[in-house]
Amino acid sequence: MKKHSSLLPGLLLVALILAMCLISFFWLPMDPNKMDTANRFALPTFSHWLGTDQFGRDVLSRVMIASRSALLVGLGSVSVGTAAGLLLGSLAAMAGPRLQALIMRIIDGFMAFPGILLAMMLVAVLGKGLINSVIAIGIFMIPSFSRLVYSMILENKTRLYVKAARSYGCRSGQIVISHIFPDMLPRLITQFSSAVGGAILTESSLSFLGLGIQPPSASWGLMLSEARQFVLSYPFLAVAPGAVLLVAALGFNLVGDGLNDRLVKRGSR
Amino acid sequence: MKKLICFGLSLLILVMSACSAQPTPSSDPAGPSAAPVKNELIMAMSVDPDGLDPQRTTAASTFQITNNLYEPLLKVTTDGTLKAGLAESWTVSEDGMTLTFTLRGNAQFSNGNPCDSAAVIASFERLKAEGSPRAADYANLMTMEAPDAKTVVFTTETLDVAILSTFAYPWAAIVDVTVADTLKNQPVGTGAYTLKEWVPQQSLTLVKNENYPETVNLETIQFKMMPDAASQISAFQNGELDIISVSGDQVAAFENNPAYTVVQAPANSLQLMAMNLSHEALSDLRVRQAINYAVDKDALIDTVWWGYGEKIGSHYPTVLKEYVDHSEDYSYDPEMAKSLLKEAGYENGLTLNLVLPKNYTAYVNAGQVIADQLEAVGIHCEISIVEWASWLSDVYNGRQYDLTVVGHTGRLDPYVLLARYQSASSENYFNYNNPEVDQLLSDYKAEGREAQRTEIVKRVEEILAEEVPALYIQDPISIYVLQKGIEGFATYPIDIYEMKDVRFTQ
Repeated sequence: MKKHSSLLPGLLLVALILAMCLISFFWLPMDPNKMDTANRFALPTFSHWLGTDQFGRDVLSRVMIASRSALLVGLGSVSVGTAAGLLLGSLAAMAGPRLQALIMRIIDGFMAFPGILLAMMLVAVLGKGLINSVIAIGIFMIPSFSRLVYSMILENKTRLYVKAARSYGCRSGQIVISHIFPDMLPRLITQFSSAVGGAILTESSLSFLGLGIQPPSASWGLMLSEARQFVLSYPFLAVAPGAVLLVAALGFNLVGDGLNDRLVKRGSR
Repeated sequence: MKKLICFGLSLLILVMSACSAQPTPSSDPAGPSAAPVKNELIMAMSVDPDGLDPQRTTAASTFQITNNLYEPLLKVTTDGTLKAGLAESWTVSEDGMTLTFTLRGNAQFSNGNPCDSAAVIASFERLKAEGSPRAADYANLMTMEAPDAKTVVFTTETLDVAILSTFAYPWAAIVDVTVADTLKNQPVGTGAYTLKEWVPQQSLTLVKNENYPETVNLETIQFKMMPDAASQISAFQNGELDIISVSGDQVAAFENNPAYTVVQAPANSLQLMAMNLSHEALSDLRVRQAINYAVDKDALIDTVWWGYGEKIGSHYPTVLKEYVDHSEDYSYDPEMAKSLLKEAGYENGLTLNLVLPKNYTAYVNAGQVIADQLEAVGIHCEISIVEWASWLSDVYNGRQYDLTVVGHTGRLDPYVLLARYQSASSENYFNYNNPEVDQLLSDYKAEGREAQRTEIVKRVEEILAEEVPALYIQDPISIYVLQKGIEGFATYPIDIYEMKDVRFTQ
């Protein structure tokens, strides 16, 4: 029990965010974009559980609806990164030395680039918005996944079971898919979970900077950026989006850590 | 558990020290009651000036400072009337084409060079030369002559009744051209102050010019560089700053507090939601009227500007003397808006794009409130938030937009303010076209009589208020907070500070 102490709290936090997202499809306390200018900067009351923002919009509804885009960008972009990383990593690992060097040097080049800067650059090229955020953050995720896949395949390539498969006449693609992949899965899942936390944070950063989700739609980063204007007069406004963001990022990271302890370390022993 | 206690204790100590630290600085600046009257003033600036040469910049932050180092020939009073500056008197010829200025006697630059008529002409030549961003505004000054050392005569190429006010802007200040190359860092003018020290990104200190003929109250003025509004406010509350500019949501912290004085005045500018009349729906007057009826301006100003703004109904700032109140011409009436839209054939809804400039938080917020109010009458706005540079190129110059929220800074002369409504104007981003307005504005330029000119301006205001090529929102109010005992701080219809009038009474 003590060994996997971070898995359970992590799962709890992630479940909380997921539940919030699911509930938002069936029920919202109020219309998240409905302004009520007479009743703005309200502190929590029975009608507004988390108060209202600068336009009198209900903060809880906005935090809930924003969880959809956060999870969509988080899961979507990491899936893009994983898929592309798997392809590029295994291609590099199984290809000849020239192609291998080419792919991995490009990946290294991308890795040398500060992540958020790369995402900002991509958004500037692609344009703002939800789908473009998914693509930009997805591309920003590719290098780390490619490197992981690449190193794991190289590690397994010299193992006896791979050699055996090859001697039976298996082709490279088949070896990767049906023999090496199952072995990689635990580490991929671990990486996936931690990366989702990072992607949600990156999406919030982009929205905070005005490059992600556009108002009047809600996003945790955007809500924080709006709250920042009033941090001296109404500091409470920043609490809810900040806390949810913390819970989401912490949750996915703890799950990643917990899975790492449970699947990877035990598996390698 | 032990760790937890340690943590808790250190937290407690931190909180206690923070609490006990606060009262000390606030009691400090007050000092002993018998102290002599202070003669050093400290202000914050949010943006570092881009050099101190008024003829080679367009930055408002620079003019706020250079206005105290240099003097233009004419100055303005708080309500926009012209008064003597470096020129002690002036006359305009019968035909309005020749302007004669008589300079103040024995005027000299801060480096000791005489500021005579030749120096004034040299300064204007530099203002008109290449490299001066305002050169085009002064191209009409055809000849400049100096019959004697105290007299300067300007002759214009075409009649421009607005020309006198162009001599009062801070960029028309007289500089010593013999040191033109170093003006950016070593300003030489005839103003009430001279530069003592400038540490870029930190502070800028001015000292009194002993040769200045009028009373200058303060010995030194220091501008401290503080980009962050929050740090300006806390420095002000600690007594480290004497004057700050605040936004509407922060005023509450200073109002009704005897330690501070709150000064507020309309800023002589306009904020509006422009409509592109080349859009099919917006070319219909009924749709534009519906938009005006649909927006509750009072609620909008309360929400975005905390009520610190004066509602307007036409393209004219409230501070200028020709202002006529049209703010209730289309008062809030959503039912009226709906029936007008129905009449115009848009009862099933209308979708418009609304472009907002990202750098101006207030305009982005205002756009969202307007969109919410328009939604209620069946106009859906697709909001896009763009960088200032692309706003200028796509919206202002390219005219690719349906609706946009923006502000216009005020000028001293009505013509400069209204000229953009001429159908051929390059700044007519409304695509507004009304032959009557074109005619009125061209009449205005040639009209010499004051009373007739005022009538023309009022008529244009009325037409714009009726045809609403924009949703005119407000003339914003600027708010300054002063430490107790500061007098003489005033706001002007152009963006300047006149520091020589400021003084401490205690």
